[in-house]
Amino acid sequence: MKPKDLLKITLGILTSIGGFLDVGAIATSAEAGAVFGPRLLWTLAFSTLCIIFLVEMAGRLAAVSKHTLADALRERFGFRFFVIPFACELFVDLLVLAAELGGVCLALQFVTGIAFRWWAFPVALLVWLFIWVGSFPIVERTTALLGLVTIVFIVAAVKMKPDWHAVGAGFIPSLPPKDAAHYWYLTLSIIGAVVSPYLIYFYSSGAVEDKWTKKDLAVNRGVAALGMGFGSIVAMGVMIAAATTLLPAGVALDRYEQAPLMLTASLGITGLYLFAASLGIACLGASVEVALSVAYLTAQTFGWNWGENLAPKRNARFATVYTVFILLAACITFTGIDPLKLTLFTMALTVVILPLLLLPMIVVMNDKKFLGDHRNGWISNTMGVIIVLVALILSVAAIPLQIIGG
Amino acid sequence: MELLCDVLDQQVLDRNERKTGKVDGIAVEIRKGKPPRVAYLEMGTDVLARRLSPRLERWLQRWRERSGRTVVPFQVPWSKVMKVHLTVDVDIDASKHEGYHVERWLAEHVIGRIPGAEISHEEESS
Amino acid sequence: MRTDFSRDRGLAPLLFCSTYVKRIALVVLLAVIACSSPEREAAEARDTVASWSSAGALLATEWTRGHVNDGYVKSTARVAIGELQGLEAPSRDAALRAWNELERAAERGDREAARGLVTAFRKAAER
Repeated sequence: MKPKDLLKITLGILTSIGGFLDVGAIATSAEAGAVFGPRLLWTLAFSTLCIIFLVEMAGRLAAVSKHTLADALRERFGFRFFVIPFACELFVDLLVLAAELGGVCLALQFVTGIAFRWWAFPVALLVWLFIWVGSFPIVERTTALLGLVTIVFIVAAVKMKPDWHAVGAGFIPSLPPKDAAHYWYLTLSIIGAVVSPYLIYFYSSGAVEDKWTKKDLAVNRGVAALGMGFGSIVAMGVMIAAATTLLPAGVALDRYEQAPLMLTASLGITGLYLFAASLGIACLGASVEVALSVAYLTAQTFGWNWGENLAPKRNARFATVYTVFILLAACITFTGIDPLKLTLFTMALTVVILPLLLLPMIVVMNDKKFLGDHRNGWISNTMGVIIVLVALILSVAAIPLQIIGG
Repeated sequence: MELLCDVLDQQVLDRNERKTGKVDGIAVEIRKGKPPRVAYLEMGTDVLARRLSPRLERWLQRWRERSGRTVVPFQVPWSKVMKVHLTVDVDIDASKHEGYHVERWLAEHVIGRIPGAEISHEEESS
Repeated sequence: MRTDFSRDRGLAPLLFCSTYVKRIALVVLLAVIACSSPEREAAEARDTVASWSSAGALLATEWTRGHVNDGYVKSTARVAIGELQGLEAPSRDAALRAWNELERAAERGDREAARGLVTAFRKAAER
């Protein structure tokens, strides 16, 4: 492997941690830890495995066929089919973006004491500016470097000396000890938070922006596995930290406001600031990615000119999409709706629409026209079928669980 | 070449390799006594609405009539199609085409008026 | 002249087939009604009050130790008060009183006052 590839992988891994760790991953892991201890670690591990495979597929599709996922899906299935996953994705992404903005606003609330809703528009402006003036490499590298602060969760989790036996046992799927509806609802939300469609669309568009070719397939595999893997370990750190501090204290994480307390006990006031910084940066990076992902998806669905490196004037419709979308999401955040409830709800909703993306995606990944000799092998296909089946079962169970468990 | 598999829903690139749209529709001319012939490719909301449902198309047309707007359909004659392979390359300049009015209008009146709209990063990335 | 879309058949007809959708919706609705009883709601309210009281005890402790800043205590207290006001549970008033006092203490920047509140919060969490 050449040094240049190594640099590419390192950068990709850091970016993926940023993409993986967002308001959804932090919220669902923290709440699961606070209510059920490390018992839901298996869900995190399983969904990480899923997203590794899916992201690898999206990157391979882009590197081999030069098609983004949205391009390929519309081409293969036609507009009349693709409009359904497209519309669903747009709706869910709006809620996701509102939740991510809410995450940044909450971080500011923890530090300043000013209620989060007042930060909605300033934060939205910041996100928009980032996309407006930044280039794709700038966006990539900034979120990557700043995202390193989230490692604090791993450090804290280890420092707290958790019950490692319980942690180990958490990786084996188990039935809920109490409150089954809430348990399964959280399972659902964790899967939705980790296997996020916006990340898959974003990754495939990013690979095209970075002009990946077949030579990058090894890089793609490395980035997918290690990047998502590290992101997942951080999320596990959040769950373990919540399990060792909030659970014994009897705090069930009713609102995000209780969450920084998981770090203050071991790290003092630094813990509060580090929690705020981690949440703020992870959500800021994710906000940029979600907003861009929506613009990519829309432009690719209708064939408009797109690219984060182009001057906004050269792709006016692309720029209009993210501008309007950020504004709309900020309006939702400004209403003061509880970001934690919004997050858990949105993540569960993500699972409902997941089969609409995954089923056609697996079909495309087996299409000779797009991938030639780089079609899915039996491992990817087996994994694909498992993911689709799980998503189908969960999406049927999701609606009743949303109402009973949420 | 199969029209529906290789052309419909493909990315359209214009003379300057600008992404212009997707092939939203293909119009076929039925001629008496002769084999049918592809007349033109179509892009835009109207043809997409027609694909979704005739009711949506009627509703869109009625709305257009009421607001007094006439929309030139974005049609590319088949003779202008240069290459069909993964993308459909056509010999037109999209930025000057009447069917490209939404992008042009947004670029001139909305996006172009915000400071920084000209900043490009194309060289850095390549 | 007419455009042909014979390839365009997708999942749309299935999704919009109204009888199936209606039937599934009805089953889901019945299941939900069956599961959301007043007792369940009351139990949930009790749990939430207990959790907020525990959070109050933890927050007050951390504040007296200087592990959190005044602004954070204030804004969190406001959120807690807002949440508690909407709940019906026996120990709600005790929890609410403690949170109100914590908010006032945070406004004054009076950490010593918080020390006494820890016990009040713990009691509200027990009941």
